[in-house]
Amino acid sequence: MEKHKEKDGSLKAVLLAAGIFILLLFSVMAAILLGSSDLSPETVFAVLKLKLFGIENEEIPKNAVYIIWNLRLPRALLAIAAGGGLAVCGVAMQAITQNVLADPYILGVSSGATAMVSFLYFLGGVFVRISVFTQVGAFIGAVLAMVLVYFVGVVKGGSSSTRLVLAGMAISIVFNACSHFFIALSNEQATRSITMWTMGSLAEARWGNLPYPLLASLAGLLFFAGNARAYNLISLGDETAVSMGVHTAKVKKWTMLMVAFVTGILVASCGIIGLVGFVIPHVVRILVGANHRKLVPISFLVGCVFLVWMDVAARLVMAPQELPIGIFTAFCGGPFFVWLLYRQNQSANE
Amino acid sequence: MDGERKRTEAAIRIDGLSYRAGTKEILDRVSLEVQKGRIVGLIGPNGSGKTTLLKHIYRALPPEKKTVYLYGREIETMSYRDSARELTVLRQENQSDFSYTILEMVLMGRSPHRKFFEEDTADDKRLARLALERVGMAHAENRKFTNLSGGEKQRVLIARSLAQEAEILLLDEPTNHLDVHYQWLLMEIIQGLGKTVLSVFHELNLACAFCDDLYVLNDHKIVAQGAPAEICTKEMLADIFRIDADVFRDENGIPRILYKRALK
Repeated sequence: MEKHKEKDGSLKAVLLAAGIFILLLFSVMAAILLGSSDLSPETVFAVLKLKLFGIENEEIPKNAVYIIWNLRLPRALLAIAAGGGLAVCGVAMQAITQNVLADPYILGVSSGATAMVSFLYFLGGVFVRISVFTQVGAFIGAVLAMVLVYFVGVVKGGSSSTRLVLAGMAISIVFNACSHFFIALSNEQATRSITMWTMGSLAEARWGNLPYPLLASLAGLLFFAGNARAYNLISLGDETAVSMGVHTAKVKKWTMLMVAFVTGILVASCGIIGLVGFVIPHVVRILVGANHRKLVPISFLVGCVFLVWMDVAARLVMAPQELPIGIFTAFCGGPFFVWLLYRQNQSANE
Repeated sequence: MDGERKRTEAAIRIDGLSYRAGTKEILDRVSLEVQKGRIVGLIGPNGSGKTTLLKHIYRALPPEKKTVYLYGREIETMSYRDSARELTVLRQENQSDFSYTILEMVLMGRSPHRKFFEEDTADDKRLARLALERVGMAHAENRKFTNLSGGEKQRVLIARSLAQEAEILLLDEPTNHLDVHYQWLLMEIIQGLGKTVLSVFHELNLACAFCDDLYVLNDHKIVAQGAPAEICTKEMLADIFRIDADVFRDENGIPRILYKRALK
C-alpha cells in the first residue's frame, strides 16, 4: 500500500511533464498556424513536410515558406527558450534568496541591460541600425549589473539573502537613473524604441541567432535541475543548508552567475519580458509542491507553453500590427499575482 | 574517518575558540570536550555566546584554524558533506516561504549521503519513514510541514536529524516555544537515541534532568564545568543567572530548581 502510493507520487510528476510536453508540441503547431497573413493549414503542413522530410509540393505559395519556416517557427522556438529559461531562473532565484517574491531580474539584470540599450539608442546611428550592437550591449549591461550586485551584496563569510535583494535594489536604482538620463537626452524616435525594447519582443528571432538563447536556456535547465537538492535545503535557510552539507556560498555564487548568463542572453535576444520568471514558479508550486526536483523541469515546460501562447497573442490581437509581448505576460501575470495575495490572505485567516 | 580515531578521540573538542563580531567580543578562549555517547549541556544567561559557540561547530560560522575538532580532526579540513555526516543540528527553524511535505522535509536529512543530482533511493525513503515512526509522525507524511503545530514541527525536525544518521547531535534550545509536555517528551526521545549530544538550554531544570555534564558560559567565557549536581547550586544561580532560587534533590540526586525572584 505504502509502496503503491509512492510510485503514484513520482509517476504523477512524470505524467504531468509528459502531458505538458505534448501540450507544448501542440502549442508550437498552433503558433505556426496562426498569424496575420492568412495561410491555410494545408500550406503549413506542406511547408513542414518540405523542410523536415524534403517532400516537394508545387502548390506552396512563394512567401509561405519564408513566413512559416523563417519567421514563425524561429519565433516559437525563441518563445520556448525565453519562457523556459526565465521560468527556471525564477525558480533558482527564489530558492537562493529564500524569497518567493524574487524573479530573475531582482539582482539588477533588467536595469543593467536597459541602461546599456538606452545608451546605445542615445548614440544612435550604426549602434541602432545593426541589432548585434544592442544585443551585445544588453548582455554586457545585464552581466555587469549582476556582478556589481554580487560584490555589494555578498560579504565574506556568508551573506544574508535580504542583503542580496537590497543590493539588487540599490544597483537597479543607479542603472535606472542612467537609463532615464539617456532617455531624457534622446529624440522621440529613440525614446519610443527604448520603451518598446523594455516591453520585450520575439520579432528578432531568426535561425541565425536562435542557438544562443536555446543553448543558454538548456544549460540553465540542466544546471538548476542538477542543483535541485541544494535548492531544497537553501530554501529552508542558509544555516539549515550548511548543517546538512551544502556549501551555500559556492552554490549561491554559481547560481547567480548562471542566472546572470541565461537572463543576460535572453534579454539580449528578446528584451525584457516580465513576470514569466515570477508567475510560472508559483503556478507550478501549486501544481506539484515545492520540491525543486519536480519544480525545475516542470516550470521549464510550463514557461515554454506560456510564452508560446503569449507571443501568439502579441501577433494576433492587433494584427497586422504587433504588440510587445511583455504587455501580455503582464496582463496575465498581474491579475494572477493579485489572486495569489488574496489566496494567501484567505489561508492566513483560516 | 578511521575507526581507531573515532574510538579514542573526543567526539567534539574545542580548543581556545575566540570570536568577535566587529569589535564586540562574543567568545573568549572557550574550550570544551564532549566524549562519545555523553549528553552535555551548555547553559548561561542571554548574550553569553552559547548559540555562537554551536554555530562554530555546525559551521554556520567558520572557526579559526585548529580550534574545533570532530573526533580529533580539524573541522576546516573536512568538506561540508563530511561534517554533515558526522553531526546534525536541531534548532528553531526560521519560517520558510516554501511548503514541503513532511516526507520531503525528512528526506532532506539524507542529503549529506547523496550527490546533489542523485535521486532519493528506496533506502532513503525507508530510513525517513522509520525516523517518522520513531517520533510518532508516520501517519502524516504527505501533510504540509508549514501547516503543523510547533510541537509537530519539532518532531519532524527530529526525524530529519535521525534520517541524517549522524553520531553527534547539536541542539540549540530545541524545546523553546513548546509546552511543558513536549519539552520533556522531546528530551526523552533524544535521550533514548543514545547519541552524543551537545545542547544549549534556557530551562535549567531540563538541563539538570537530562545532562551528564554541564558547561556554564558567562561573559563569553566558560566559568564552570561538571555534573549537574555540582554545578547547580543556589550560589551559581544567584551569581550567574541573577535569580533567587532553592535547589532540591530528587531521589536520584538530580537537582530540581524552584525559582523565587529575580535579583537586582
